[in-house]
Amino acid sequence: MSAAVRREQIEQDRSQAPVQQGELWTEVDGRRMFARSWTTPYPAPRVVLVHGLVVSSAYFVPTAELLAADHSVLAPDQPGFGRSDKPDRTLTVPGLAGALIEWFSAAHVARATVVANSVGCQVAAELAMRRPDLVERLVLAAPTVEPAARTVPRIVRRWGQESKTQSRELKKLLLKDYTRAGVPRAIGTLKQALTDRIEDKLPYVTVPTLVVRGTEDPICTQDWAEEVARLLPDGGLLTLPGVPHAMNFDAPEQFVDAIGPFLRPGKGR
Amino acid sequence: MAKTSSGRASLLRESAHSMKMPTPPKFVANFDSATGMLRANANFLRNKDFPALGSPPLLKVPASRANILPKKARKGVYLFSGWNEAIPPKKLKKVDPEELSGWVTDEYPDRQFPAVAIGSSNGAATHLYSALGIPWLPQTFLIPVRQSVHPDEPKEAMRIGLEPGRKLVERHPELALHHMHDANQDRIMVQTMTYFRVKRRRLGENYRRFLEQHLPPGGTIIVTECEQKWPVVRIGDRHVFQHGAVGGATKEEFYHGSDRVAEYLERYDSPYRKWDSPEADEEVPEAEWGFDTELLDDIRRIARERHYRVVRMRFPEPQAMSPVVADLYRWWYRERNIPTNRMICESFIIMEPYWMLRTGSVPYWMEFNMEASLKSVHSYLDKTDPFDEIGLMLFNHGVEAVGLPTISEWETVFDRATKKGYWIGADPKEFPMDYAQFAKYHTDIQKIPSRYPMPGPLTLGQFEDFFHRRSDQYDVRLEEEKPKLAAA
Repeated sequence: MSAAVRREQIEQDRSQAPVQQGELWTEVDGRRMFARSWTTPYPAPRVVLVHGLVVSSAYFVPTAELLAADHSVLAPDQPGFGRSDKPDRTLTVPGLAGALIEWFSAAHVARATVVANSVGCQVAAELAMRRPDLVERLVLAAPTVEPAARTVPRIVRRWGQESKTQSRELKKLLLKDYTRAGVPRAIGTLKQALTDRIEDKLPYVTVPTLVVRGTEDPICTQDWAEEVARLLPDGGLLTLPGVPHAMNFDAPEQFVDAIGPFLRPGKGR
Repeated sequence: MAKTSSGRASLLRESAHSMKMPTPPKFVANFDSATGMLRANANFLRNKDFPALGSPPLLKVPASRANILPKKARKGVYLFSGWNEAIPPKKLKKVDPEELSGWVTDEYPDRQFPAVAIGSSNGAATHLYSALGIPWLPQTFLIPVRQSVHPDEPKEAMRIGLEPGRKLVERHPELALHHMHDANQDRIMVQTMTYFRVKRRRLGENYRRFLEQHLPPGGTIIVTECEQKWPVVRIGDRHVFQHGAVGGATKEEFYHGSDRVAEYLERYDSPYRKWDSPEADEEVPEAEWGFDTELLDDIRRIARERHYRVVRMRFPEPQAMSPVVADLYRWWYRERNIPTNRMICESFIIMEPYWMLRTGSVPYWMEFNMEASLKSVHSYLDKTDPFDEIGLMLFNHGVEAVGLPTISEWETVFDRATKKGYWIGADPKEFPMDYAQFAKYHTDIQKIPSRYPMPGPLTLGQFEDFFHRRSDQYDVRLEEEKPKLAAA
């Protein structure tokens, strides 16, 4: 199914669904933070989506719409990205996690399941390590950055390979988000992502965590995904055949189907 | 100057870092315990020594020639250098504590550390950090403010500091201000400047960022807590005035005078025979060395969040750390089968962590150059196996202050060596105006013929084992905080 057809279907579904899509503006550290929200008219478990490097919550929309059937979903744009205000200084990974911790409180989210993609996994791991009380369960989809790829030439090479797996729609969206964030912030955040050692934190992430990897992902290798799952005290790994790095945009159905049972424990698989 | 005035890719990165020496903000004293010890340790972690107390290399040559000048001119140069370092009161609004801590963190190499120390300035602890290969983030800094006052009028000194001090603490809720006036040891300097010592009560963004980036979860924060206290006049919630300081004259002498104070004031042609001191209300952490425990809240918070161990290293006065570190170095040399027969006494910020290890010398740090320091060396030597050689490098602050031992008294330390005692880079007849010492200690120490390879760092576990096996011998406590579950 092409992305265009899929989008059409989602448009149709939305008109029938009781889910309300909206925007949530909050203030964190004196700056405005934007989030997309999907609210059900009935109480539903909360999910917070954490986007990756330079992109924004926009590329989480297809996943959010599928999750919104039985979850109340929030997808913030991290400071400096998307529609959120830009701090003067590029934030470090712990800095981004710190902003997210404050955003939880500003958005009145006492506890949620966190679903993160790519560099967003580094932010989410820091968040879950620091504040396990905020995180119900954690999904790390295509976690970065593997120690073997932690130099600019290596990560750029892997990125180049990954861009070949991106759909045209994703490329268009990324171009827009990259332009919005600007080159210096993109480079600054990439540097921060490369110095952040997620492997040091994973042993302290005690919440139940699911690592998801697509077999078409050149950035997050199978060996690395296995290592991430191994380092987690309560972690597991799912490998999805034929799925790329940005699975939340380019393979949302497979992604949501795969994580569904983990998000709704006790409902049977 | 007065005591208180003042794999390959990573290798490439480090050498680039060392080429571009970060410059401290203009408002902080360069010639002070915090800045001096910070640079000594940061240089060590970049595999470098500590020439001319961390001053720019260009100053080293004129400093080594300083003694050519007659004593009066030398005093003038010293006075000018202090005045030049002080900032006019109106520039106090440019004080930015984050700029200061940003400079501190930029001094250190960009790598991960197993532990990070935070807290009091302490020369012996500086050698401990070097041995462990870890950075230290100072709590206290000196902001010298240009003010003109008679050194023997402490009430007037307090009065002129009131308004600028009040504004400073209002602007910076993360700081506590200890306005300090020591007409004994800092006699020359206090004529032109007032000593604003500020203590951080919050980690602030840059210290926090440094911990997040350089101390991985599971790492240790060592809190260096000197419990030295001093009587003060309380001016505000975070603002006190401290008359006198640790060193030569006692608390009692500062507040109530004595024969030797009278004699000292007479010698310096003062119209006074005792200091008319403002009445002290309470004792608080001493301005330069004492640790303000308010900072513990932030340390505990980040430790809880990032799964750090917190080890509190507490001691009642600055020199209590010196025997621990001297014994640690001696033990370490023994473990490495290196002779342990040489001790070098350092004073204030005249110190050399790098050459201490290269020459296989045991460092004994003294807080300054006063009686208490001399006594501390002797009492250490009373308890330890004798050394064949004892070297001495003394800080020179230009004042024949109350409690300053004579050179022959200092030389009694040499008598304790079984083979020889000697000065390092000093011209003892010029003491305490031997300013050439500031440049010469670093070249003279290299004349010691022994050379040993630089060892890899000690682990924190090795240090803790060493310490706990003989902790009853020291006036130092090393206590691990009980981890508290669940972040709030």
